[in-house]
Amino acid sequence: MSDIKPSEISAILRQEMAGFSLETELEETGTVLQVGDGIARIYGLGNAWAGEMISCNDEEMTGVVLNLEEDNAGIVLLGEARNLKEGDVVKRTGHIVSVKVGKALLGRVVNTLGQPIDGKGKIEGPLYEMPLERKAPGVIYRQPVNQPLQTGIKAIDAMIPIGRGQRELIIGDRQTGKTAIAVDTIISQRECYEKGEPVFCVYVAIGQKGSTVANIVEQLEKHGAMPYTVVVAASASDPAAMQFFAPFTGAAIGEFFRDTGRHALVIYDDLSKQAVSYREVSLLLRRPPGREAYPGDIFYLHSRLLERAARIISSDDIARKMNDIPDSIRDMVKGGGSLTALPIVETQAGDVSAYIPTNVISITDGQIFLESNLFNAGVRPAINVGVSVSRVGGNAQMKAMKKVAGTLKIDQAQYRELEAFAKFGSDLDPLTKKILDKGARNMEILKQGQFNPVPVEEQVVILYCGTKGLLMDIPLDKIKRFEQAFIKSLRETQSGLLARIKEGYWDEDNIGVINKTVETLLPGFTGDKDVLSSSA
Amino acid sequence: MPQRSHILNKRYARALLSLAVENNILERSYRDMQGIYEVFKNNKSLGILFKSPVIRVSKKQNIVSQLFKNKVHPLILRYMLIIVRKQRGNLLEGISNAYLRVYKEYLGIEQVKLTTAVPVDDTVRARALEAARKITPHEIEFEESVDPDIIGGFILNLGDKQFNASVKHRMQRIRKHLQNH
Repeated sequence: MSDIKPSEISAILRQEMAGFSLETELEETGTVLQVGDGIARIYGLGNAWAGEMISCNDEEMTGVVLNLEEDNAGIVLLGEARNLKEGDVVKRTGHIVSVKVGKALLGRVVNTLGQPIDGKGKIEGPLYEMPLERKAPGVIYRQPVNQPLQTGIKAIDAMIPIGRGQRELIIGDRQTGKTAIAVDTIISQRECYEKGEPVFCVYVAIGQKGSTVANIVEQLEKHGAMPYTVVVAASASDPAAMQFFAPFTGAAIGEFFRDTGRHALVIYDDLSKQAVSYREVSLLLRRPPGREAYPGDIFYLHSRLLERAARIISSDDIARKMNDIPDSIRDMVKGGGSLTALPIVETQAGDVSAYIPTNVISITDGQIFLESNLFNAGVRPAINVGVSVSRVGGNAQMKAMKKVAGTLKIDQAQYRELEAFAKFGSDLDPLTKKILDKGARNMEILKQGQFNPVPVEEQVVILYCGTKGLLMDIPLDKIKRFEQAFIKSLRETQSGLLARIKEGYWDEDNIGVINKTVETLLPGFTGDKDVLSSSA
Repeated sequence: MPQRSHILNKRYARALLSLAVENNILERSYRDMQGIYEVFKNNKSLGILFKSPVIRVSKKQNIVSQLFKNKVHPLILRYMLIIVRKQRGNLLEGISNAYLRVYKEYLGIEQVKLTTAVPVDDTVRARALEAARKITPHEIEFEESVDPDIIGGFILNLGDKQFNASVKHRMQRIRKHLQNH
């Protein structure tokens, strides 16, 4: 140790301190009048902007200006309020709230301020400052949704297709599998990632238990989804302000990918909890309460958030002129990107006419409605097909899928109606019986396990069998096993066909091959013979 | 509700200010209100007395008259009696404090405060004043305070602006720098 020279130490210290200036600048300050419940009232700060970051306690903690009043400013604290006391001096920073975003965030778990909370150390790599609050792209910088986002869930891709740039609400009671759909959608994007055309995913967990978030991260890791995913977590123990800003962080991260010509998917899980934390902050700031005690701008809070999901025009020249591009990414802007949003809203006892659900339903381009009685009846995903819609996704749906599944939704609705009728046990005419049989088989096909996304080409072929009624002779309890055997056989013998369907071809030749495959497999499933031995 | 009384204080103070301007007793009113503020600040029990709903208004008025008669301008005394009659006696301390601020605002006087670790001599004081004059065009009311906590250097406050050249602040900045880079 003795051979370390003092001069070396000072050289290293000097190197570390490079870029540090002792220059003192004139700062604008205010004094704390009152602190409590994560809110502080500040006297002074004459020139502060709404939404500006305020540094408290020598940059130990930040706050955000939310209220500008006649002689004081109301700020929310993004941290422990106990370190701040009356009479403390706070400073303006001159920045509006923003996070540092870059590809280096992928695979990480961060908090609302973009700081890592997964214990994997600092985020290394180029990062760009993106504001949390930003205006959505204007009309001329958008184009209609025209590319599908494959969720890997048969019921959704067939009947409620989602396009890139769409906002599709996932709504349902607790314990109906809302998060499962979101997580499956993320996992399903692995195919795109491996092909080199990634859809970057952002999962925003708002007000959830820390253990739940850890669980989701573990599942994503297990299924190889973390390399293209960022998790933003504001757990239930974080201050309310951190919770209601979290979706905006998610949107800012998504926008970085969207504006640099890439595709991104952001999941807000869930917005009803976010609304609750926004209500908490609003009431503490003494803003007047409205319906269900939510503040008057709760609709605007959600609409401006979801409006940022967009499909950007493919022309680079026009995209470069987009409104409100942050300076940090100005020279990286490219057209053709998209940001798809899947907000989640939890209902109470299936009541979709409550305040927040109706608001978000009216903002989004459709909703996936999950029901607990379906879930309990073993229909998983528990999607109520009758009330679930996708208002724009149809244009983006693959041609093959459109042809195959075009009538599926109406068929299933009809089936549901007759099923209720048939419960009375009266004699049924053959036509009704046929609809019931087919519907029940389709229901069976649409059931799907968790963490098990199905590639779109495989969805097309099995749905074809269902909608064409090729499976009418197979007993209900053998449909799943038939599906497995059928897909396995196609994969082994007809991989070319699957690849063609994936590219969008759907013609007589394909249909012929599928019909033949079904015919050869069918005898093993119709009778009471041991299915496994005959299909192997 | 602190912020509510904050607004109230300012309203009462503004009312008195316009009255003082009308009657040409601006300077006298400032001195009186300063005195009143001192009295209330140094005698917390007086504030508690005015807050108490048990004591009758006439009694409170009596106390005000006895305390301040011949010491403040008759107009200020009448003003105080009105406040007490309207059950706002507990605000007197806040109102007098707000008045000092409103008065300075009206005349365009900026409060400048110099904080140092050790008491300063005249040359430093003069330089600080000079520096403050460069920043603000307003008239300056100078105040000094000693705070050993800042270790060294100085902090100059002008209204809601601050020039922080204290050793404590610089050390904190060095710590931040080392943490982040």
